[in-house]
Amino acid sequence: MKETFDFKRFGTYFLYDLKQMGRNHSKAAVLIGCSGLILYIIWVLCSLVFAQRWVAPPIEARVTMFILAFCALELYQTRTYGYLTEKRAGSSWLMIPASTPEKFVSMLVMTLIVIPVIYIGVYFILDGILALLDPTFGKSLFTGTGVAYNGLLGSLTEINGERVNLLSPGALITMSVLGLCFNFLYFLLCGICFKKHKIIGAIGISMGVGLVLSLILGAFTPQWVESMSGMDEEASLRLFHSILNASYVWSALLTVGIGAGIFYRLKTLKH
Amino acid sequence: MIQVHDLGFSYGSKPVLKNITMQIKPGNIYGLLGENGVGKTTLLTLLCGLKKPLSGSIDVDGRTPFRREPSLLGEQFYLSDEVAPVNARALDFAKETGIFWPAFDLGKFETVLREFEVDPLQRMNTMSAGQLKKAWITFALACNAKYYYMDEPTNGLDIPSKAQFRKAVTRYTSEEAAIVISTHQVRDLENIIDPVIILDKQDVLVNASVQEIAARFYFDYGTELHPEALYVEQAPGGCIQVYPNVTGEESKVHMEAFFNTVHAHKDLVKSLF
Repeated sequence: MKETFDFKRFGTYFLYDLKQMGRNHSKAAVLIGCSGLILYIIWVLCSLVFAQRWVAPPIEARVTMFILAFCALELYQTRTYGYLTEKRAGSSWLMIPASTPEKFVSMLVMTLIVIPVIYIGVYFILDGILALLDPTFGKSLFTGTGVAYNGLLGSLTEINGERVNLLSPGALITMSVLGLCFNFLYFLLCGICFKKHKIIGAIGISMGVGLVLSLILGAFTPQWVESMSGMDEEASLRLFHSILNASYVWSALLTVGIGAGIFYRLKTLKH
Repeated sequence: MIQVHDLGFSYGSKPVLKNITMQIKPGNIYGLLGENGVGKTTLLTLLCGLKKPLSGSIDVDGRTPFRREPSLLGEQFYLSDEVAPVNARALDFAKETGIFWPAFDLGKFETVLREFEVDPLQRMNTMSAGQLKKAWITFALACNAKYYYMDEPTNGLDIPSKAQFRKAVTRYTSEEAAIVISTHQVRDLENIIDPVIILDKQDVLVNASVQEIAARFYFDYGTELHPEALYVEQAPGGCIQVYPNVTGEESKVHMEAFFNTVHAHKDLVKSLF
């Protein structure tokens, strides 16, 4: 067990990993975390120069910026441990006396918890401060996200004004979390697999797989639509729940599969 | 002790090492010599576990390097030919990274680094190639490992630093340590390496101590040409000749001349060891 996983050694390694992350990626963290603030400053400056009045960015621009920052954060996962494929830094990392499971768990915690929490935390905190200080700014994104989430939930739980209980809040959250975990781990895996062109490789594969899946699904969709056309509401709802459950299992399997891929890559990485 | 048995490795369809069998014993500084591309770096990376053998086995005190078990990683250090320019001050790097090696000595790190005339507070990514190499060599020595694998450690070092390196390796490593140093600059290290492993394409030509080499070959530094000389090299004030030692007379081994003799008479040399 000591060779496979030792909690004390894991703690030491995790702290080491955290320090390296802070040292090597803090600039990117600041840039992505502060992108909302940067947008605010540019927007206000532009409005002062061109319209001679103080105008904060509208919610649409802020949401777009947040989504772009989040996409950048996802793509950035290809960089955080991308050095492992580089001979010099990768060899040094492999020779650090900690076990592969310890390095793997630390990598997961860093990718799925530490980095998103810090980046999103910084983003929301800065956004909240701006919402407090500038009355023209509107509601903070955090509050807005909650409202949007409830709205989405409402639209999924009501059809023609009737409650149909299509999706529970728990289900929506689970789906979102699984989706995020999958994306973050997918880009991490691409980052430690590709030696060059990590981002292009990751996007290329995802587009290729998406294309193949949509072709396959497209071939079956007319038959499914035909078979569902005669269904009553209750049967449709049952089918929806079955599809939903299947999608949970599928997402969970994919996420675990990507995680297993990362572990396998670390275990077999050579220089 | 390291036991290598029938080791084989190839890059795709190109074989690099084939049927390599040898032992690496503690308390020695092994010189791993060979021409470019014969597999010196590959052998070192296999020994430390950065690569997996395609055939055969490597056993380090009952453990397999490629499993990369922390207990073994903590007893060894692989110093790559090209070292990473870490984004940290040398001292901080040593404090943060050295913690993983059970016998790491921060005091030794500072002492050796100062002997190398490198500032421990300088950021490693601002160091010159030579300074960076010295910082990594110092870190390796401060790890107090049992097994060292050093790939061309003197590359990028200036002449005084090469001398400091030789001094540091002999002074700051344990008597029990097994050190394998690959080099093609034989003169840099000939005074400290013993035994010598000479690799040829896919094969070990020689794995012998300096004493064994001296027992089999005579190194003549005179001016008179010997008819049985296997190798002759002009030198200031005479020449260096290598010929089979039939009288049992002792001579000082000239490593570069020996290396060239081995390459000129592979089968003969292999049959002698």
